[in-house]
Amino acid sequence: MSRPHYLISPRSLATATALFLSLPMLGDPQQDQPLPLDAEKFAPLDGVGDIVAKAMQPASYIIGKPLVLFSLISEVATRLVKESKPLDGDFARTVDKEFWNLLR
Amino acid sequence: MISIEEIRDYLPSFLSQGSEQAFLDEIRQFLAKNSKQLFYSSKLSKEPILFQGDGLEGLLVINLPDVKIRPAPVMLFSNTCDVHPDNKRLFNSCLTYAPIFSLEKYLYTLRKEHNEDRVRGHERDIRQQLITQIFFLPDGGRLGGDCLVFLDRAMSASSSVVDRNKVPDIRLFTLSDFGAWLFVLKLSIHFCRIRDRVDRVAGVIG
Repeated sequence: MSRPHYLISPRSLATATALFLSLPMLGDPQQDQPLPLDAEKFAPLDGVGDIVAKAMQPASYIIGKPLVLFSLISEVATRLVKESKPLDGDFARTVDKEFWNLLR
Repeated sequence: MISIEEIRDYLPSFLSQGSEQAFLDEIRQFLAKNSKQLFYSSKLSKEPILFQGDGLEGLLVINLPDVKIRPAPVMLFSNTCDVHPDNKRLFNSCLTYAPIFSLEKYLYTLRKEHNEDRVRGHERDIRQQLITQIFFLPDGGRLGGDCLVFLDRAMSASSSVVDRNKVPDIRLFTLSDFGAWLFVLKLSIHFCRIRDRVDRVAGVIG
């Protein structure tokens, strides 16, 4: 009994085609928009169309603004949590003494 | 691993495309340690609404146990929705706020008692928002200079002490989207950090 040729199965070809069709998304300024999940875009792929569309959807987000934003706010939050230090007690006592004189 | 949909839950969902770009620009400036970042928004200056993080002129301030009470510029800690008069509740929310101090006066006073290197290092930490008790306010709006707020010097007053129709007249600034996000983040770190090294069940203080 011969082994099935997975690499050239119809499903693999369909997946490769779907990936190729989606490549232009990489340079699209609206790349943070989700790919349409309807079957139309991947209709030629029959049953695997929905699977491919769902698989591709995160990829379109990953290279888009939301992940950049998430990455940056995570960096800020991490920096503040890890590098923050308490106010020096000597300085706090100065504020206690000079409270009214230091107001804007 | 966090999913993309979960990531969206952590992002400010109200931002328009232009606001999102401004948010990105400000956060990049912050990471580049540019203390002159845009921190405020002028778009809401005429609104008769108290926004969280607003600077307000002339609210009553006290420094207990000193019983002296004086009007002073303050920064509002209260959540915008909590103190909006249209949100009817079984009880009225009070305004929580803290006085705004002049950074120049603060540093000048410190320099009289402490050495220059120590004060300069402290100033750098303040400008980078790295002191847990302090929120740094770069000059902007009607502040008239760099300022700071001590998050551990908060107080409260009845919401009715501020006539909402006069808010545009007493408002010193409104934070930008990034400024407001950073302010809430710093409030969270100040009040809610869980790395306090106290095992409350075992009774061990680390």
